Amino acid sequence: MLGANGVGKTTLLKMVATLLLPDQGRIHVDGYDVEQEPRRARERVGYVLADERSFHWRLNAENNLLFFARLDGMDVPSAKRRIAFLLERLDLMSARERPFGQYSTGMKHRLAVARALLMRPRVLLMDEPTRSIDRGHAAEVWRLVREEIEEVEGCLVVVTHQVQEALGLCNRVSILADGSIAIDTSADSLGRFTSDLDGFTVSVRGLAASDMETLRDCEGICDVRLASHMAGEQVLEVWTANGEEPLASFLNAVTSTGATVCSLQRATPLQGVIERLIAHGSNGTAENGHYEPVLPGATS
Amino acid sequence: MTAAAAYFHRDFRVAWSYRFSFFVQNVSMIFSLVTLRLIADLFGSQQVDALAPYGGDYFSFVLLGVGLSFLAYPVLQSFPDAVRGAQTTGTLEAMLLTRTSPALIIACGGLYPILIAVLQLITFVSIGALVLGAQVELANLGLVFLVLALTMATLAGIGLFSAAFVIVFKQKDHFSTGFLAIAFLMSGVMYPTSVLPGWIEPLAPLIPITHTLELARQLLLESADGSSIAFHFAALGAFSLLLPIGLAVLAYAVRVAKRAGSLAQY
Repeated sequence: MLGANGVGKTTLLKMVATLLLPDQGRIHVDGYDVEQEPRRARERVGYVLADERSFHWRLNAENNLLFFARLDGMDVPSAKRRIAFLLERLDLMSARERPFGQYSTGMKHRLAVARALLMRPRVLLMDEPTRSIDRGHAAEVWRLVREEIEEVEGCLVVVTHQVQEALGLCNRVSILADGSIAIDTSADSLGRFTSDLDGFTVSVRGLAASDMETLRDCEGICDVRLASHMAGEQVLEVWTANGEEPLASFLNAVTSTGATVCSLQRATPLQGVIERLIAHGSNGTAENGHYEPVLPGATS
Repeated sequence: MTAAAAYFHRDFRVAWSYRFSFFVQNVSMIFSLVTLRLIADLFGSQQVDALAPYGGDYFSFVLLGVGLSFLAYPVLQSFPDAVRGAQTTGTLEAMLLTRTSPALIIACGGLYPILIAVLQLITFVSIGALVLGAQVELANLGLVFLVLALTMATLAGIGLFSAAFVIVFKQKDHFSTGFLAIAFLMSGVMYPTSVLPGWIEPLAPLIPITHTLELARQLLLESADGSSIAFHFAALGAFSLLLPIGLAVLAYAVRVAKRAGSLAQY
């Protein structure tokens, strides 16, 4: 699930997880209505919350997970075995005795993944699960998630701002705009449709809002958007016209404003994808209440 | 039971990480006991008519009053505090995602402070009786525990109303503080209700703790009066219906917050 900030991605996940009730319409999880049979629905759902604070800070990782496992009705010996397996796979075993409050942001997110997988859910909801996880650990998170989902023949719903991540993980991609699904298409057709969209994500420190226009004026840059603020860093999404060509001049422009470049990653610009899809969607067809764009090269 | 055990384990672990606070709390309880003993000694062997129905010993009288009032605050406040704490630390949504029902999650959140309060009450009265000379009889202990259970059900019911208020209105309610202030004045914590001004005294039975204190004193201070005990038990039993009503109100409040999308807001 892709979409700009505030379009309702997290709200939708929370409704599926029974944390919110829909104003209208119905949501079924594995056949169970979330409003009529919330407990049955919850039994099938694992949810990686975007809120990294959602653990008890004075407890260590093991006791935190044990608490949630017991609320889920798991007996202590089974819970401990499952917790040990998940902590091992997520590279948190050596830190299992450390209080959660001493965990780094990435470790907190990995622990949230462990909690969501505790009960082997058939529907796994993940809200930007890897945004603070380094590449190596993120790859292991996805490997584990794939294995777990395949084992129960379940499904995975991921909210992400990273188009590559969505394309690599999923077979369907929905794009939300203004609180509804604007585009619902296959990952294959989306990948082909956006293959010529180039860009990168740059994390910087100390960039003034007024400097954004300067960066947008760089040669070869289509657009620059502030994607998020995280741990004092501003994450910029940069959409280029010619691949990596304008990269050097763009980075020079960033440093000339006095800002510091923290990290750089090649990424398809989400905003570019959304704008192109929605613009193109006016030629599409309506299917099951959602808009299915006719994309160049798409297969049915 | 599994949910309750999970909460006990969690809260014990958290409390153990604040050992100094636990130590200070218990030492201050000893200081309170000694203070009460010294105040009681001011009366010496003077006979006070109002205390005659309770055996005449002020220290024994006030020991039970203050001890039981110590129980009231944790029972009233633990539920709204558990909700508020879970909202501010961000754990409420994570707990509500589990298979335990939302009302049970919030109800279990208040259990540990209540258990500790009961243990402190028992310690408080035991030290008062065994070390500082309070004249407490244990013949009716079974009935005393029934009084405690009905009292806790009543206060927990009120506490669940408070928790529902926190969930819907996103702010700490001051009901518990106000309730305790009124209870301290009118229910006979420090003095018998018979010394209250004439226009206040008829209001005393409207406070649940009034019946708790009357029953506890009649059962533990050798002054049990059958008809009076039956009346106070009936009153306390009626008040204890607040517990299921509180649970229903809490479940409704959770639903309102889910509909409004404000469950985790504070």
